[in-house]
Amino acid sequence: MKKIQILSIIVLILLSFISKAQKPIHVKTNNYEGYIFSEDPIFRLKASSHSFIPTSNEIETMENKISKSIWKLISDYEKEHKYDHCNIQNNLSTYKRHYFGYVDNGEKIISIYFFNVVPENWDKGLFMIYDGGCSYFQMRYYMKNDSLDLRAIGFFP
Amino acid sequence: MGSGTINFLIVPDPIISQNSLTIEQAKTWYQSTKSEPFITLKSSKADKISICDPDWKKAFTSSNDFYDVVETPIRSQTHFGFSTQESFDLSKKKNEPGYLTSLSRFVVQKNRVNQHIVGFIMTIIGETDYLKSKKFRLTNNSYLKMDKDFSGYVLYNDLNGKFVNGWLYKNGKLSGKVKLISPNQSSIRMKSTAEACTDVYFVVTTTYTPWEIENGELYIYSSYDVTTETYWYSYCYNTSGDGGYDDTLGGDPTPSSSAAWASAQTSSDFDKWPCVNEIYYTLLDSDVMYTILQGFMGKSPTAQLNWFVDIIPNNVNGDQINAKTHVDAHSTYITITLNQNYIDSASSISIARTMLHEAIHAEFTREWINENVVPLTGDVAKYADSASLKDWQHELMSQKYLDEMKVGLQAFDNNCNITNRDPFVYDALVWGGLYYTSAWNNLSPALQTSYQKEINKQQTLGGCK
Repeated sequence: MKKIQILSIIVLILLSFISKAQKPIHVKTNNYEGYIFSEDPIFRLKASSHSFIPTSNEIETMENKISKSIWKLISDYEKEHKYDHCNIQNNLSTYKRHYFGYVDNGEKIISIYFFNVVPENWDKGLFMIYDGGCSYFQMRYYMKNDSLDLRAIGFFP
Repeated sequence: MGSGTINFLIVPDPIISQNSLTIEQAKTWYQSTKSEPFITLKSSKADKISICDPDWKKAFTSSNDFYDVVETPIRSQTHFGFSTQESFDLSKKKNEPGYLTSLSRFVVQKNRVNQHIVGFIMTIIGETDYLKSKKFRLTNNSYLKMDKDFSGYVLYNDLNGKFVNGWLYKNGKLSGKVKLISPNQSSIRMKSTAEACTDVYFVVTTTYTPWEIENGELYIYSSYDVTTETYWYSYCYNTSGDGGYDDTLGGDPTPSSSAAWASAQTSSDFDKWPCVNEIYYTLLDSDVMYTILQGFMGKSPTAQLNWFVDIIPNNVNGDQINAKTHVDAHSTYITITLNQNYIDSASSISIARTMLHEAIHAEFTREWINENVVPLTGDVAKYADSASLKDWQHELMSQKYLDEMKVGLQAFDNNCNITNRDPFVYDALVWGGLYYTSAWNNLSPALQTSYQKEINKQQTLGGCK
């Protein structure tokens, strides 16, 4: 019994190590392209949360949802903020993505950063842009409810 | 270097006090801090290296209510001396090397309150009359006790040789702050800044003596090579401070003075953009940017800012982007890019507003990223953790800090000797970048229109008008 416990701990430590050492995963289809990051210092996780790596199937499900929901999301956002400058809906495939998965209160959430001005090292880690206008926006995808939340669109400085 | 040599010092009487820092402790601290056994001085002009180290045998201690200090002469294999241009000219004219005298010492300072220890190099440069009256001896001055009639400059460099801060003295009293500038910056500083501050440069005369170590023995050659270099500084008649080393760069990540923050945590490539450079240095030199950031966060700023000018593509509908702030946790610096098209067309007050706006984003974000290290507090914690706020930074700026921005822009204008600007301009400009926030949407449509009109006007008024 004790041996099994020790073995379990070793396996857990190894899994934890493998997870932390995970390189960004490149995903590319005809409709979207991005990187999945398993850990990044820029993403502030609460102490009670932890990260997870979404599978390519989960990303595909989410992207399908985004594709179907983008018009309503943008429309609602514009109504709330009286903001009507961006034409993200018709240009969604031109935006690259960064994906970061985390578990908050037992719920899996994927944070997505969209950008259509692509820095050279975009495959190295997450970045945040303030005041970049329509070129940058963020979303959250709540896997349990299959729902999306459009976060900030870069305002004009 | 004649009488300017740092190898023959008269050690002033130590101030007897309960000094908790002994010479041995200072030496241990120094040896544990330095990765190499020596301080290396490198000439930027002649590419020659000089090795220095503290002369512990001649170390002495002093104290006041705040600090315990150990001070030592510096042993150097070259002689070097800082002099004002006036002293340098007199030295040549009268063939008197004494005019080239300056005094550099190694100082270890322990803060009595927080026990923080820092080491640095202090250089004392006397004004010409003072040097002459003292027969070219500066040794009556020490870190905690300056001569009653000392007139001149005290410069502080860290142990890597980087200038940190400095002070101007007149007749033993603090009269101003000294800042390092580069020669090309000196010619393009704003008129008002130039009136408040005066550019000064010091001639550094270095006598290099070739040497080498063979089989552990030091061989010094009899030939020598004298070079001079010029370093530009400015001094401003602002006496807030204690005349000491800015103890915020050698380990404390939050510089507590504007000059220290500007020196350690900001850099730019504005050399090709004189107008933007003027605005940038006015915001830094007048403490406006530091004060704004400090006001927002309630503490000294921590973000390291790297400023650029570049062309930023328009939005898909053709709208111009004025600037953007790029935060990448894999880089120490946060990059702020000003759109070249914007700076070519905007007024200086508009550009100043944009720069402050972006610096605030940088500071907020740095705090947010650091949250695991230092928990967020106050408004930032409240807004950043709000699930309902989709754009917490702009919401926070628009709801809490419009007044601070207004005061900051007025202070910027004051530094440019502009005192008659219509207050409406400030009222309008502070909303720049905050369209579509809840607070903006609560303004009446008429007010929104008039503010937008003024903001647009300032964006197209012309460079630095």
